[in-house]
Amino acid sequence: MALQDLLQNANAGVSSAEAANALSRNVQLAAVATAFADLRTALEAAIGASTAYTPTLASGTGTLTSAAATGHYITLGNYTWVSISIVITTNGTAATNITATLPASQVAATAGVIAGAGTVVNTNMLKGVIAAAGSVVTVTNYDNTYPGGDGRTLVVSGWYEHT
Amino acid sequence: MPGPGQIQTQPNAIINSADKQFSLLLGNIAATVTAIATLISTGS
Repeated sequence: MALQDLLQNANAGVSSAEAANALSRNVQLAAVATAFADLRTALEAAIGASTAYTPTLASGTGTLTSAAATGHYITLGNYTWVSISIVITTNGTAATNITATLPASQVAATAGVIAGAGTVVNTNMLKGVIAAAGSVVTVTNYDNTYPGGDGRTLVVSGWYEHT
Repeated sequence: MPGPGQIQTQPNAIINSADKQFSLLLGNIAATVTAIATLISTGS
């Protein structure tokens, strides 16, 4: 029986206490519906479309003459999944490693690591190390050598624990 | 009237008990769903 019927049929055997209970439960059901709507919003924000950002590049030593990076990420609770693509047109004097800024800093308690690969010219596996409390990922070849060079594209992606 | 050895049912008491349990269930569902949404959003 609908709530309205319950209330309207108070003279047909429905006590005022029962009508009050029904009204109270209706309020609680509305709260449950709101909670589920909020959950849907949170899930859509967390695991829906990723957010694009532009990482800032630097090199361990020297200077990149011409390079650009694109990134995107999602955030799920304390964790961020990030993907960064680095396109080096002209390497210049850059050497040692390449750093790219992250969408959020790593937690102070522990370092993080994400993996990657060179996709153009350099086809090595890459490692991306994120220092504890770090705001950048440091990219090298798997063997710690410099991954960059003219015309190279480097991609790293993975999860890390953000602040 | 109940016969010998039978217990008279109390419809109002049963209804009130069921309503109380339903109320607790709704409260727990709302609290749990809200906690999950907060966990996904903020991690705590």
